[in-house]
Formats: sequence, structure tokens, C-alpha cells
Amino acid sequence: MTVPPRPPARFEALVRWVLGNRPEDRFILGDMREEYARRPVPVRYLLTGLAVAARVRIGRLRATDHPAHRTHSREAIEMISTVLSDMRLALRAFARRPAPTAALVATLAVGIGATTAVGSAVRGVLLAPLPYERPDELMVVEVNTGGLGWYGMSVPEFLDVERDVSSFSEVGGWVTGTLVLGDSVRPRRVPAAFVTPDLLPILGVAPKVGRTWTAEESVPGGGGVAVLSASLADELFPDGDPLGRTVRLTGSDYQVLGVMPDGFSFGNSPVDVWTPLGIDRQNPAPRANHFLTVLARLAPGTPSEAARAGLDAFAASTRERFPDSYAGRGFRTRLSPLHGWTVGATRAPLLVLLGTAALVLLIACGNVANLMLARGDARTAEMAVRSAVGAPRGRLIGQLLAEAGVLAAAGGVAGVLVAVLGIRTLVRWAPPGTPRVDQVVLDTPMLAAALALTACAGLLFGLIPALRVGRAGAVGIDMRSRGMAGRGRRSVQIRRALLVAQVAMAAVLTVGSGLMVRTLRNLYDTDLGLRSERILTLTLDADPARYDNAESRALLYAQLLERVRTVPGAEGAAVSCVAPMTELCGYLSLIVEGQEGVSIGDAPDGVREIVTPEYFDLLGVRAVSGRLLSPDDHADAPLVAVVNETFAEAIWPGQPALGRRFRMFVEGWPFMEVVGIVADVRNRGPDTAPDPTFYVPLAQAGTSAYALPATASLIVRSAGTDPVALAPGVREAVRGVDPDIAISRIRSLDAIIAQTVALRSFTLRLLQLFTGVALFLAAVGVYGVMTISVGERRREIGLKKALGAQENALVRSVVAEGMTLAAIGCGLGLAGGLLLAHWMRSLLFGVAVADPLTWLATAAVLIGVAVVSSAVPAWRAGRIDPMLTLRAEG
Amino acid sequence: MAPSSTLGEFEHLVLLAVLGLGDDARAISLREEIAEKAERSVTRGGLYTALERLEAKGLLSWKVEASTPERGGLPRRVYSLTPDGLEALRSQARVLQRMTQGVHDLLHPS
Repeated sequence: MTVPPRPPARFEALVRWVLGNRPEDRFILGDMREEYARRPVPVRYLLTGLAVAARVRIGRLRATDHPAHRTHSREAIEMISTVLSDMRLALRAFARRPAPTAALVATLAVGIGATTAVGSAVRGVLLAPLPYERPDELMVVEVNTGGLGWYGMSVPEFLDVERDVSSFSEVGGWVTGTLVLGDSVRPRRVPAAFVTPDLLPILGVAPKVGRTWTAEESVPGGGGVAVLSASLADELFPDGDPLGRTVRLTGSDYQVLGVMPDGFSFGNSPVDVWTPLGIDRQNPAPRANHFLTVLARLAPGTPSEAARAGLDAFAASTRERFPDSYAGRGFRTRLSPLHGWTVGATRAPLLVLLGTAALVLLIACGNVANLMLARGDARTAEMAVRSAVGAPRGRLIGQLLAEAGVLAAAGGVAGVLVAVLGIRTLVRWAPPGTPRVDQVVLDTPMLAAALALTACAGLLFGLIPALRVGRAGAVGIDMRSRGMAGRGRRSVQIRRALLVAQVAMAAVLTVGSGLMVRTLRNLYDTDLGLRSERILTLTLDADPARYDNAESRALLYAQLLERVRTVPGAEGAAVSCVAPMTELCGYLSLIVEGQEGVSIGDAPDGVREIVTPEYFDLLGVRAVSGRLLSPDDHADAPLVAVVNETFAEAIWPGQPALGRRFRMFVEGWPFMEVVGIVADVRNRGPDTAPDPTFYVPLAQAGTSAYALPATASLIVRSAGTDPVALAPGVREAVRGVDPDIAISRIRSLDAIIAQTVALRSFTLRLLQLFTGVALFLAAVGVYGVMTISVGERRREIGLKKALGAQENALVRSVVAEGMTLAAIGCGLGLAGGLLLAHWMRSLLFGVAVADPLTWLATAAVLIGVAVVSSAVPAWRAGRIDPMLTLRAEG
Repeated sequence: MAPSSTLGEFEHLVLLAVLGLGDDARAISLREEIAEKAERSVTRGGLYTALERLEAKGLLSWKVEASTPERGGLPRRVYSLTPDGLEALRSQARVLQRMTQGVHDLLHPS
């Protein structure tokens, strides 16, 4: 036998308490249970149960009515009873008109949900403090010694800062990279951070078990120790204590010293292995080698301005002390709070999205206000009647409050659902590398603010009819023309003003969306200088100890290419140092023949690419002059290079570059000859200028370009349209050559390029969503106001028609009214759009803030929306039967 | 005192429903009965209050019946008329009968 459903115990206890906890009332609870078993709806049980209990209690009090019984509890119960019956009336009223009620609740839900979701993301990503000790004191030091942007320091510079800058109490540095974990069973790359001994202590975060390294363990050659992330430790040693165990990383054994706390992260990408960065203080790496990101803690009480001044002074003295290194390019420093540095590029789009979500919420509030006003108008007569037969004004206000409260509650509940879904979507859509996106949770203050705002709008405008009754006096309402002329002029004006505001806000959003659409289109239309279709890229890590020289590595890559070309569906393959459009294979200082003897500070530099000859053809990189690399450029052949146009122009401006020679800056490296010039490739993404780049043949890289790394990218072109489908075959081929090679980052080149614009396309997607919602809400607004306006002018229209006005003319006049309101709103909105566009400047590409096309399109869209949404009311106006309206007049 | 003088319209309906339902005169069925036959909605709270009032006036009494699974062990009340209650209804009916004499054709148009 099935057990019949029971009401929730808490609800039942509450009802019993209101009833007064008398044993003889247990049969009432029994009746309630029986009814619940028929219709098990907990909320319904609670509402009816409380109403019943309150009514019964009051009935008993009345039965013994006496001034002595007028107690506080009685007043309280009377009040509860009134509120409950008001709410019941409200629910009934809504149930009678489900469509407008659903529209209201949906409007509220979207407004509250969108704002809360984006607001939670903003607070989680931008505003929440970093989880380190005294995070405000943490600063990142970056330098520029020529070239683009700001980057890390070199080891000698770092050591100087550590010694000379007194504004910092502690200084540490780190480099991120990857290590290959494991052996031939399943090698894979894990993200790693190579850190100076001070770095983790600066953050004030200790491992949850074990320790970090000592100074002895962090000198070069003293290493072989590592601290793991909690998740990696759990994965590798699920059975117990990881301390003292060894892990194999990139061909060496590392002893596990400690495990970081769960969820600890640093920087913008996850790190699974921390290991000491060996710094040789006596014989540090070259001064021009800027790879170390430097973190400093401000000395107690030192303002960041003082630290900045200290760094400037340090930079000036460094320039003087090492003129060879800095004379030509300078040496500048930048100090940024770690928080801002971490948040970085995410800041602008998130703030723009928060602003737009807030606009959606305001538009939603506008709609709520509008709908409440419309309801109120329709009920002015009802209120007047109730007031006339003696309902106190407080009671009427209470009723309207209850209605607004019920609406706000329903909208709030639905809004929370939308917010939860929205946050999930945001986290899923967020571009990879978005800082701290995993920490985004539903933010209560944000939700409370959104709820409060909508509730206020509902209450404010919901109360207007009751206030009007109070003002006009019950008898003053024109009962005869209820529902027509009885509508307050003032509320029509308020409603028009609201509509103009809504259209204006929708216009702002449309401008924002339009600009982003144009930006994305420009980005995708930018010629990157290569063909990305049907290209698969993957990263290969060979064991550097097994392939310990350039010859063995070159041979390995040659074997790999030979095998991969035989994979069914592969049209061609090439190897390069890094996958296109990902990172740089090295920004190196160079010596040009004829300019030997320049200091490193004056030497030109360029990006090195190490490629096999097929690279250019495979990616469609165009030759401009000379020749491309060929298989004849083998290890024993004359050393050659191909350069891009930017390189040629930067180093030999206005002169022919073919036949010229250059070499690595460090003494002893041989010259190579420029045999060809190729078109530029925008390797850092469509919005960044190409770097001066030179391509050396892979077979010669060990001889001419410092080294041939054991890590390389394999590039394969597929015959079919989906290059990723090739991956299993390619993986098999690589395994066939050497099963110990770790394969990672299997991606199509199209996916890589999409990622370079990921932040913008994320912004655009959300903006489009918000704009769609805003336009819809604005359309609902126009429709509502025009419907009411037509209703108000019923008699006028009827009269005009009776006097012979054409139906078309009447329709036109209504549409014209809607368009006029929309046009005013649009004008205001375009002005607001200028502000928004200015604000999102950093997100735009190739489009002016005042882009005429976007502005015209916005105006067209909004006027179009206005025309469409006033069409139905206009059509109704045209069909008004003059006889009916005139008869009603009589 | 004459009971009929203190019987309200709703109380009258409740007493009639109790009489009509006989052994099934419980609050839930009373409410449904009145809603169906008198075509008016009855709030639960109002019904319980009326039942208590009628009991206090000595027109109704009740006895406890065994619980059902739906009620999970909670008691069930079945109401019945006291002799005074029955008398009150009868006197109301007599009054109605007297009052409708002579206007029968107007009240029941053919």
C-alpha cells in the first residue's frame, strides 16, 4: 500500500501554533491532511492552513469579545489574517488574468536573474580580494627594454631589485611552463611554476602538508624537489601520504616536499607542480633574457607611489650602470597591484556587461511599473466603489501592497532560478583563462539589490490607484465612464515617460551590440597572413635526455613527419617550434652583418620561428620575394633564413634584404643568409601588429639559432573538413615512432584563432542576449502604452470615424504616435550609447566609437520595433465601431 | 428564547447540510455540500468558526471517528443535530412555509 502524501512537518507545526496548540483542534489538522493527500501542494497547504487557523482563532476571540481581550496577540492575529486574505485575493486576481501576470513575472525574472548572474561574476572575478595574506601589498613588477608592451625581468635585474629597492619587504619571481608527467604508460603535460624560494612565503600561503624548499634546494643542481597541487596529489597518491614519494617529471625524478591547500591558485592559469627555479647568483642568466615575472610585497606602511618612485630611481641608475644593455632601448618599469594584474583584460568586458545587465533590469522595472499602472487604472473604479462602501484606505493600500508583494515574490523566485542558470552559462561560456571564474557563485547582496529595486518599482507604481482614491475622494471618481476617461491623465504621462526611457535604454544596448558585432566582423575579416582551414595542431614533448642533441631531434622530427604523412586523411604535415597563433618561440637579440660590435641595448631583435620547409605551403604563408625554405637546407648546407616583411623593413629599411646576413647576438654563432621574404603573419591575433620574424630551417636550428627544442608543434592538414577527426590516427603514428612522447593541446587552428577573440565573442554573445531581451521588453512596453492610448482615445476615434475619417489615416496616426515616442527615446538612447561606446573602447577593433552604420542601424531597429508593436493597437483603432462608442457616450 | 431568532443565514445552511449528510457530516463534506447546493464558496476557517458557534448554542454535537491513512492518526469529527438543532430547523422551515404561502406562483413561475 502506498503511503499518502503528508504536508511538510514544519508547515504543519506552524499551522498548529497559529491555531493555539489545543488538542481538541487536532481534527482540523486531520482535515487539512486529508485535503493535502488529495492535492499535495505544500505552498497551498501553508497559505490555506494559516488562513484557516487565523480565522478560527479570530472567531474564538470574537465569541468572547470584551475590551479586556484586546491584546497584542489578537491584533497580530487580525493582521496576519488580513494579510493572508489579501494575498489570497491577489492570487485569485492574478489567476483570472494569467497572461499579463506571467508577462510580469517573466520580466522580473529576466531582469533580476541577468543582473544577479553578471553581478555575481563581476564581484567574484573583479572585486573579491585575492586569497593571500594582506593582498593589497602585493605588486607585480614588469619592465620594458624595447619592443611591445610590458614583460618580465631578467635574472640580473631581479637580483638588483631584490638588493637595491627598499620599498619592498620581499621579492620573488616565477615562470610558468609545463612538465611532462610520467613515463611511457601515459605521459602528459602538466602546468608547472618554477619559482624563487621566496615566492610562496610572500603570498603567505603555506602548503597544507609538508614544506617548501630550502635555499640549498633551490640552487641550480640542488633541485629535484617539488610541491604538488592538492588535486594532482590526490590523483597520483590516492592511497595516502605523498610526502617523500617521487614523481617523474620530464625525464627526472622529483621528490614531493609538500602539497598546497585545496583550490590554491596563483596567476591566471592552474598550476599543478611548483618547483624551485635554480638561480645562479654568481653567474646569472643574460641581462637581456626577460622571462621572470616578479612579485613584490610593499614594505609595511609604504604607499605604492613611494615604491613606484623607488623603482624609477632604480631604473635610472640601472640605465647608467649598464649602458651597453639599455642605452638604445631604455629601461622602464611598471608597478601594478597583483589584483589588477590578475584581473587584467577581463575588467572592461565584465564592467560593460554589468552595466548592460543593469539596463535590462531598469527596462524590466519600467515594464513592471507600466503593467502595475495599467492594472491600477483598470481598478480605479473598483477601489472607488470599495472606498465608497466604507473600506478604509489602509485596507485598500494593504490589498495593493499584497498584490505587489505576491508579484515580487514570484518574480524573485523565478529570478533566482534564472540567476543560477545564468551563472552556470556564464562560467561555461567564459573564455579559457578567465581569472577566478571557478570561484563565481550566486552573490547574495547582488541578488538582494536586484530584488529590492524591482520590488520598489512594483510597490511604487502599484500603490498609485489607492493614493488616487484617497486624493480624489471616493465620490469624486467618474463612475459612469469607468475604464475610459476615468484613467488618470497623469498616469498616461508617466507611462509615456517610462516608455521613452525604456526605448532609450534599449537603444543604448543596441548600440553596444552593434559595435561589438562590427568589431568581431573586423577581427574575423582581418587577413592573418595564413590559411587556417583544415589544420590540426598538436604539441609533442620528447624526453630531452633521450634526444640530447640537435641531430637526434632533427632525426626524430623527420621520422615523425614521414609517419604522419601516411595517416589516412592527412594531406600534409610540418613541424614548428610552437603552434601558429599561440606563443612565441623566442624574442631574440641579433647582430646584423656590418653592424658587429653594437651593444645589446642597440641590437635589433626579432621573433625566431623554427620550421620544416612544408610549413609555408601548408599554412599558405605567401612568398613575397626570393625563395622559401627547402629540404636542401639540411644541417650541412649553407645556413639560411626566411624573414617576414616587417623584419626586412625594420632591419634594412628601404634596402633589399635578400642576400643580407645576420646572426644570434651571442658571440660565436654563425651568420645565416636571408634567402626569401614572406608576407607577415599576425601571430598574436588579428588586433595586434605582426612582430619582426625570421624563420630558420629546423635542420639548421641547432647550428644557427641556439637550439632545437625537444618540444615542438606538429601541424597537419586534413583532406576532410574536420581536422580534429585526424587526431587518433596522428596519435597512433606518433606512438609508432616513440611511445614515450607526450601528446597534448590537440586543437584545430580555427579553434586557436577563435580563442584569440574569445573574450570579445563572449562579450558579444551576452550583449546580444541582453539586447534581444531589451528589445522585446521595449516592444512589450510600446504595445502596452499604445493599446491604452487607443483605449483612451476610443471616443475621439469613434467620433472622427463617424465624421468620415479614413481607417488608414487613423491607423497611421496611432503608429505615428508610437514612432514619435520611440524616436524621442531613440535620440536619448543614442546619446547614452555614445557613453557606453566610449566606455567599451578597449574592446572595439576597427570601428569608431561614433560608427555611423551602427547608429543608423540602431535607429532603424528601434523605429521598426515601435512600428511593429504599435501595429496591433493601430489596427484595433481602425476597427473601432463609431456606433458603439457613441452609444456608450449617451 | 426562540432559537430561530439567533440563526444566521450561513448557520442555517450549515445545519441543513449536517441534516442532509447524516453519518457523513464532516467538515470537508459539509463544505463541499454547501458549495454545491447553495452555490457559494465557503472558506474553511469560516466553516469551523460557524461549527463552533453552533455547538456553543447547543444546536450541534459531534463524536470522534476512527482515523484514516490520509489523516495519519489524527481524529475525525462527525457532526449531528441536537434536538434543539432539529427544532431550530423545523421552526425556520415553518416560518418559511408560512411566508411563502400565497406567493408560491411568483416564486416558482411555470
